[in-house]
Order: sequence, then C-alpha cells, then structure tokens
Amino acid sequence: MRQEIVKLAGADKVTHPEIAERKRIERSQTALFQIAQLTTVNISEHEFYRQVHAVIDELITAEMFFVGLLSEDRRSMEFPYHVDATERNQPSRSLQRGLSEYVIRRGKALCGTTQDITALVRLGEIDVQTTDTALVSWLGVPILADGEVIGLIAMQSCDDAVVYGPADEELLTFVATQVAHVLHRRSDERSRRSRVQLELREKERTKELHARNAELEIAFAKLKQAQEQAIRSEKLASIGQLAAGVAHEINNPIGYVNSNLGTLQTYVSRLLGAMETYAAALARTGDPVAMAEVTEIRQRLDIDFLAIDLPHLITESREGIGRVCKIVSDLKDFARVDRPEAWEYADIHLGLESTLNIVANELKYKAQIIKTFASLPLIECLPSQLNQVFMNVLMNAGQAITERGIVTVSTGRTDDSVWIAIGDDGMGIPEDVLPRIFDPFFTTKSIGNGTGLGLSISHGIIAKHHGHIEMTSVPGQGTLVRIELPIQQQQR
Amino acid sequence: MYRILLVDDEPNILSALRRCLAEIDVRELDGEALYFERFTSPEAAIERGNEQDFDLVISDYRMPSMNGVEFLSRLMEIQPAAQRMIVSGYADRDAIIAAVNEVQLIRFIEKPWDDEKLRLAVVSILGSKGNGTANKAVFATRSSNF
Repeated sequence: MRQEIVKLAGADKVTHPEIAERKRIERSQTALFQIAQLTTVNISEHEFYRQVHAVIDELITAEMFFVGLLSEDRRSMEFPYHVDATERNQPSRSLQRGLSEYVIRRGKALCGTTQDITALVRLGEIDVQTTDTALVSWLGVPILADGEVIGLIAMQSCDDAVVYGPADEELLTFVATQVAHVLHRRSDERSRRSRVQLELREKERTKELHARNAELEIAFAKLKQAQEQAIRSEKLASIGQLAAGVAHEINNPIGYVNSNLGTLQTYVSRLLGAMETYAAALARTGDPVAMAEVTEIRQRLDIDFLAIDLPHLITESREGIGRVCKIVSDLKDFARVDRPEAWEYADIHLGLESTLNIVANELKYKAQIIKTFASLPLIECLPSQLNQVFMNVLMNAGQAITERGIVTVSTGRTDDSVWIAIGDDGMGIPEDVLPRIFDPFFTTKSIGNGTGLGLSISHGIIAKHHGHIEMTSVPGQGTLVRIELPIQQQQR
Repeated sequence: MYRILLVDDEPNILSALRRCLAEIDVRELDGEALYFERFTSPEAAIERGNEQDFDLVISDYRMPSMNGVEFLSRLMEIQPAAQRMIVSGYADRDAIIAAVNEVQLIRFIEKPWDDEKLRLAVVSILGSKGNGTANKAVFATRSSNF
C-alpha cells in the first residue's frame, strides 16, 4: 500500500504522508459513495463493471481487473468483465486450480505477492500454469450472496511499484458487496421483467386462444352441420336399402291377407244372406219344434250380433291392411329415389298445377290457394318425383291449417336456378321439432295420418336434383317451405 | 273351361289368388268355368306343363330356384299359346322390362294387388284370347300418378 500511496501522492504532488493518508481516506470514501451510487443507476451490467473499475482505478492501479461469476451448476466460471493488456475477452472456463478458484473455494480474499503465490503452488493449492511470470501482486475477493460464494472480483499488478495491501482488500471487499447487491437486484429485475413478459405473452396467448377458439367454434358448427347432413343422407340411403328389401318381404303376406279379407267379405255376406233365406224358409214350414231349436241356437251363439259385427270386423281389418299397404308403398317410393329414372326438361308449373288438382280435395275446404308464378325455363329434372315433393309439402300445408287459411304457391328464378315457395298460415312447427322434420319416420301426425316418410322422401328427391329444401316456421303463424333447383344438372 | 296355372313359392298367395279369381262370375267368361292348378315350385309347374295345356299362367317373380321370367320363358317353349302374367312384390324396373321383352308378358301386377283389378285383367285376357286381340302388352305397373 505504501507504493500505491507514493504513486498517488506523486500524482497529486502531495509530500506529507499524513496529508496523503487523509486524502486517500477521503477519496476512498468518495469512491465507496460513487460505487454505492452506481448500484442505483440503471445501466448495463458491463457498464456497471466498467464504471466500478474506473472508480477503483482512481484509487488503486488496477490495470488488470476482472469479475468472475460461477455458473449455476457451479462447475464453470464466466467473466462478464475483464480488462488486461491483451484486451481479449476471457472465455468462460470450467473450474481449475487457479487463483480465482482458490478464492472461490475458500470463500476468503487472497492478497499476495509472487512469493505468496509460489508458496501456494508448492502447497498444491494452485497450479502454476495459471499464474503469470510478470505477476507482482494479486488481489481477489469473493462475491457473496446469502453467505454463498457466487464469484469473485480480482485485480493484478505487474508493476513492482504496485503491491496490494489490506486497505485495498477492504475496498475491494466493499465493492464485492455492492456488486453482489447489483447482481441480486438484477436477477430480481430479470425475473420480474420475465414475469411481466410472461404475463404479456400470456395475455397475447389468451387473446390468440380466444380468436382460435372462436374460429374453432365456427368450424365446429360447420362440421356439425355437415355431419348432420351426412347422417341424414346416410340415414336416408340405408332406409332406402332397407325399404326395398322390407317392402318385398312384406308385400307377400300383405298380398294374401288383403285379398283374403276381400274374399272373406264376399263369403260372409253370402253366408249371412243364406242364413236369412234359411230362416225365412223355416218360418214358411211353420214347424214350431225346428223353429224353437233354431231360435235357441241363434240366441245361445249370439248369431244376430255376429251378423251385425262380422262385416264391421272385416271392414276394420281391411282398413288396417290398407294402411300397411300405404306405408309399404311410401317405402317403395322412398326406395325409388335411388333408382335410375329418365331425366327430362320439364315445366315446373305444369307439375305444380297437376299436383294442386290432386290435393284439391285436401285443400279446397280449408284454404284459399294463391298462386304467384314467375316466368320459368324448363328445368332438367325427374318430374314425377318433384310432383311427389310438391304433394308432400302441399299436404302438410293443408294439414297445418286447422280451420280456414291461405296456402301460397310462388315460383321465381335466380341466375342458374329456380325456386318454389309453398307457404301456409297454419299452426307452424315448434322449434324443437323443426330440426327433425326431414328425419325418416318422424311424424307429429296422429297414427294413420302420416307415415313420417313424406318429407324425408322429399329431402332425398331434392338432394338428388342437387337442390335445397328449407323449412322456416313460426309456431302459431305459419310455415314456409322453399325449394331451390338448378335449371341444369351439372353431374348426376 | 279355362285352365289357369298359378306359381308362387308362398302357398298362402296361391290360395288367395285362387279365391280371388274364383269369384269371377262365369257369365263374364261366356259361361266358361275356371280351373286352377297351383305350384310352389316352378320346376314342378314345368313338368305339369308338359302334360297339360293352360290358357293363362300367373307367376311370382322372385322365387328361390328360378325367377319368374326364367320360369315363363321355359314354359313358353312348351306352351307358346298360354298367356303370361306376373304378380310380384318385387317391382324392379329392369325385371319388368326384361319380362315384357323376353316372355311377351301381358300383365305385370304388383303385390299387394287389388282383387277387382286382378279379376278384370284376367277376364280381359281370357275373354280376348279367343279372338286373338290379346297380343299387345298392357303395362300395368303402379307408377306415380301425377
């Protein structure tokens, strides 16, 4: 320290050692204050070290000065600040047996001359390769954080005039404390900043996720719609196949039951007629014994009731069979949707008119029919199948009207398609029923009034035409069915 | 007397057809009675066809051993003069066309049939048989009516 003083004294042209000592203490205090100040300024880590170095350099000649920090796994050391004659950056290195490692290992400052260091080498505490032959004095102090060594600050003199002493060690120890503070604060800052960044990123991510979620919801809705469509088509296709098979199998038993019931009706009426004749013939004989016997049998077997009830029984059974026939025939129509048929260019209005004539019986007592027909081109279609669709829709319209109402039938044309809208001011369709309206066998009609196939058949027919059928309804106000059909079929 | 050959793998159909046709008033057939023979096997019906002439053959289309068109075409070789009719629940358009073309089918009636219409068809076929006007195929498939 003496040489240092001399140097400083020389610089300041101070002659008296006491004055020099006082000055040194003052400057040392100023330096400590300056370093303490530095810790509060927001500068880069390197700049902080650089300024610390500059302040120290004012007091102690520290041409070679470095800060070494242990890596997190404490197996290597890096040098965020390093100044020497080479001006090269010191690469980080794994721990060896150098002077720095010695300081770190012991957690205590090392302030030594060449001789001290040679002694340590001889003791095996350090390897000599790491030391410089030009070394005159070396001072290193550990940087401690929470009592744990995290690195060191060291300086080296190659000048015989500069030998470090206890005062230098004290100053550097103070600097090391300040560096530890700064490092601690910076790591806090870093984690705070990364937390803020993380939060920001999180917010962005959340925003992004919301956007993606919205996209997905839309995609999901579309997918669901497509799926419903697919299920519906699939359902219709399998029902069609089933229908074709079932219809044939059912037609045989229906065939003979229906025919037999007809024959039975004839037989029964003949038998009953014969019985009347027998009774009359018997009455004419006037044989009281035979007549009493016949009367007894008639009463015991309730023949009079049978004679009245039998025709009813047969009529009701035929009604039942008739209904089964209608269902099977609907099923066959349904299956027919998948059957190749002749496509032709036809006038939709002719179809609508003839269908209206056919359903007139259903409609004429209930509804006024208002037709608004536009001028339409002929369209490529399967006319009889379209008529079937019109009939189903018109029948539904008629059935929706409870007392008296209006049925509107309008047509129109867009670029390459035509539309047919059939509306009624009837009871409407409840919201929960509307999505199922095209499902096979779905019906709201009472048993015997509908098979639940009409609209699914219609849906199949329109799909086959590459058209659309839509139904909108307001319960209590009415229903509108809109059918759109391409004028020409692109591919069939 | 008119002889009618009924062929269907379902015996109940045969009974019902006979009952239905037996209700035809003989006066509509110039007093000629109807005589029925029933077979659930087309092969047995062909064997019988070798021994006996028939005026009308009414066959099912879908049968296990052979279909109605095959049966009628084999019978046609033995008895070209017998009128041919199919009553079937299997209403395949191609099958009907094949039947009309290959065996000069005179009627195709779908099951379940309407008794009155079936009787009318039989009366008209048998009634016109004698004077030879029944060579034009009448297509009675149930189609969409509008």
